[in-house]
Amino acid sequence: MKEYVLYTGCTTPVRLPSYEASVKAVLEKLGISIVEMADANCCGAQYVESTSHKAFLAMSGRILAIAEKMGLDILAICGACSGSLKTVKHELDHDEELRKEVNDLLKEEGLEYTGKIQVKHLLQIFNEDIGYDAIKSAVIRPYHGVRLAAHYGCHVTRPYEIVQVDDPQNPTIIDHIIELAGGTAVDYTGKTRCCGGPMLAMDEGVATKIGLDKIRNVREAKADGIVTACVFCDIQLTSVQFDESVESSERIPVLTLPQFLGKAIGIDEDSLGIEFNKISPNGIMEV
Amino acid sequence: MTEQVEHRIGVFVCHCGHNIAGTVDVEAVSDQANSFPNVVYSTHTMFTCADSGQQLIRDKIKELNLDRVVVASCSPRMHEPTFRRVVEEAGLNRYLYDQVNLREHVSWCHMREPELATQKAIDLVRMSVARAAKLTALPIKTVKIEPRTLIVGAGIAGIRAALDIAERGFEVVLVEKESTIGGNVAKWNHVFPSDKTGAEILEPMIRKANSHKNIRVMTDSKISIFDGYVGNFEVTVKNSKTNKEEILDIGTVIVTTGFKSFPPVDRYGYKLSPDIMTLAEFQEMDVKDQLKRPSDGKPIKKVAFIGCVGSREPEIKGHEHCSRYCCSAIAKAAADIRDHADEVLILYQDIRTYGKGHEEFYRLARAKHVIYTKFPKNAKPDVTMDNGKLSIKWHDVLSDDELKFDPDIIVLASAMVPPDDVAETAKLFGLTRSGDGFFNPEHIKLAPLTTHTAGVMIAGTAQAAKNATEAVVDASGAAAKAVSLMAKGEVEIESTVAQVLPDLCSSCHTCVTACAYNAISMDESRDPPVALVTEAKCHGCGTCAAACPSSAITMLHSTDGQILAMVEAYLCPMAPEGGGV
Amino acid sequence: MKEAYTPTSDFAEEISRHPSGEGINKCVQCGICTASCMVATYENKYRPRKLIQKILLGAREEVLKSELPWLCMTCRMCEERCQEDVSIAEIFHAVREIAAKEGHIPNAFKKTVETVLKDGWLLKDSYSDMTMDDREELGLNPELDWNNAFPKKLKEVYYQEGTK
Repeated sequence: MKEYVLYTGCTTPVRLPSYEASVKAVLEKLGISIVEMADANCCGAQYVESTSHKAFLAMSGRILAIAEKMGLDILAICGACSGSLKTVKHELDHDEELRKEVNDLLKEEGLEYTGKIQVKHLLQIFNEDIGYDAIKSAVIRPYHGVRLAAHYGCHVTRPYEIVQVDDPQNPTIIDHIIELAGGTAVDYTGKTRCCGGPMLAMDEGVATKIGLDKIRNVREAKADGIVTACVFCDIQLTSVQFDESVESSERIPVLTLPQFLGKAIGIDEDSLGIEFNKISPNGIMEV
Repeated sequence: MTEQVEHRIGVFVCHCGHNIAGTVDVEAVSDQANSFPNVVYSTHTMFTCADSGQQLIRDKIKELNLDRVVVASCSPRMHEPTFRRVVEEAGLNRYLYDQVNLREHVSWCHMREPELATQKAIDLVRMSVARAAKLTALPIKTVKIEPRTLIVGAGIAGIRAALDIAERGFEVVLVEKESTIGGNVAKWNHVFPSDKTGAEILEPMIRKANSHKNIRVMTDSKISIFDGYVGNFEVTVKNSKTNKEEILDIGTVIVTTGFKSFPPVDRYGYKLSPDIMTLAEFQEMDVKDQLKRPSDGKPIKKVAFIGCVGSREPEIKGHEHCSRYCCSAIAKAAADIRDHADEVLILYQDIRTYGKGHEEFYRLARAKHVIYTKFPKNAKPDVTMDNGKLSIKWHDVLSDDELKFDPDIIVLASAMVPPDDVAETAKLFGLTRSGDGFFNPEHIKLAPLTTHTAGVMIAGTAQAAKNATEAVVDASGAAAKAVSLMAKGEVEIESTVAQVLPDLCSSCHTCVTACAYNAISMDESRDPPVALVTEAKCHGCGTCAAACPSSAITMLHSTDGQILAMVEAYLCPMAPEGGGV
Repeated sequence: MKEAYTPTSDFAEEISRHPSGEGINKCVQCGICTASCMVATYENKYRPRKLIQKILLGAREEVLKSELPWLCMTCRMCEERCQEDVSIAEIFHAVREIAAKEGHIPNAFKKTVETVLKDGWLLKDSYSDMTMDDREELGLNPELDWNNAFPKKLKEVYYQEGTK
């Protein structure tokens, strides 16, 4: 059984614990063992990243070093964390001086990063470790007549040269899994556009407009639900639908990928935390 | 009543697929033609120009002993040469053939009126048949080509052409008005895209040209008289220092008189200071070590280039064109000087670095931190000078900001324009010029190096603004054209020319004045002198014939008789079958 | 009417020396980044291409004091589409770092950085009892064990006045 150390990031444990729970439940069922990371720190995405490049390298560098000490590859389930850890790994792997500077700081913690471990995003686990055949065989309660729009998230798929998760212009991993689980994967305008989440700090109004742009496009494609692979995107696409411009009856449910797949492979709704979803996906789940 | 000569005319009406048959009832036309005088055979075919159509004509000529052929099809500009060749192959003189345009002149312009179109087609064929009966065989003439090329202008294009032709074994006379050869390129200190000077690049070519046994270089020389016709030009070369003249026999001519760098007197304060210069002047500056300001010798640390100077100015005649070479040249010049300067700016309208290696130079300039700033077309930068200090103010379109800069020198990428004596050159060789002032080629796409004067080619910047690489390509192309003529040794000339009837000529000289091609002169060997047509120069335009007050000139293949027969055939549709008036 | 300024390549050189700002001179101002940008779609004052041109022209003070570089969401759509391989989001990271060091940093960022460096993660204050209960219900560990000693140390090393 392949084992990964899970890096949850700041947001998931507090704002979307159902994502954490469903990741664990689904991966265990599909043969991936998850170990928790102790004494972690924030990866430094966005805020530290923008104000001190070196501090950012050190923050994510420490996470990489912890995993190296544990002898395990990292599974990141948040897009921003995935992007940060991979970017920092890339930079430290290629720049000896910077690596030395970070390791000098880590030495005092009893940690060192030498490049031994890999960082993967959740989608890579499905695509590379589990494989579509295994997923297909695991599906016992397929969906019927459900149209779903996949939202990959920017930091999950871009920049391709560093993250290497899926085709950035035309990603297919989530869509493929939707189909394997019996759903219909729906194409829609602006599929690879941002959800607007990162904009919340500076200008909530613009962030909401960007999120609603995506919701509009998904609605036009007549999707019954949205399937995501990043905690931030999930939260953002859910909360923008509580804007006064959206009727409560029009809200489209948002599911994380493991929640969506979990039901199809026979995991009970409680374990997947379905009740915690702010927009009830009952319409999809019960079909 | 004119004499009725019996002829055996064959009429072939073409469907041209749907092109003609879509509007014109070609079958009806072909039927009607059967009843025209002298027509012994009339038919219609799908595509007369196709192999099968051509074979049909050849077969019928032989089978029915046809002595005149009429094809009613597309424009003669399309297939007259084709069908002339076909009838010639079947043993008929090529001038016993006439073509009726039922496509461009009937079906394509009368698409909505098929009945009237068909009537017009019938009329046109009847007219052509009447003309065909009056056609006479004309002799096919050739002239021999002197195996010697005259190249006018010894810049990079002229030298390249000279070497190409000389290597092929033909003689070259390379005439240059200056005292040394090498033209504009030889004056420059760095030439895109290499780091050599122009002189260094040209040196091996110049050396070869000067020593080649087939090349005769004549410096300080200009053409004073240009006479003759293709293959047989009579050229008078005059030396400007000695005033001596020499007459040469020339077979082909290549005009490579090049360009002049436009001095932008009314733009960007060019006249205000020696520190404001054109790109050409900049490239003539000595490149040893640090460049110095022309005005006070201080080192040049801040440079501003301005693009499109005197080019792309709508509605200013002679300055509407893009000069093509400049964007790439200033990218290279800027990248070069950036190594020795603190700041280099390029103020541009657009960037066109299109050629092989050009885009890479543009990127290199940017990588070296040359600042590119775009100004609006309708608000060009304002250059002022105060106490020797230069100052530029402009609006940067892409940042929407107002900018200012005090450079040590300003380099203006000024237009490529024709040299001052271009009008003289054009007149001498019978060349026309286009809106940009440069010589017109015979056809901009299909024949860019030949001209309407047979045997005279143009190449390099004489033809249009371009860079040295492109000029050299032109030169080799024009050389190939010259060689192809000279290698054949002779060339056919058109027989459809003017012919003087000496007994009617009253020596009034009207035709000599009227001819646009200098193709008529007075034959002084007779007393009184009579007009004499140089057939190789004649274009068969008919102006002389129309002007002649004594009706002493006839146009072969367009005689009065032939034309009037057409008029008569149109106005008096044919008599009932069996003859009669 | 805006005042005219003299362009200089100094700022672009400064940015290109920063690890994130390397490719800035490759920009040919084609505008495809701005056409692809979701922020530009909904915020008229934000035009990445224009901002890059201002950097290339050397409008250092204007750019560093502006909030515009902080409006980039780092969604990297521009980088995906840029034909010259310019990493626009990365360049704005470089600009932000320099701006922050000179005291120009939006409140939202300032507060969040302070929180992260103090707590080791972003949401300590939001971790309420209710959320703890939710975690327990889901069978997750309610104790969230985040390290704050290391981030505190980083603050000392990298965030004091005058650090490089």
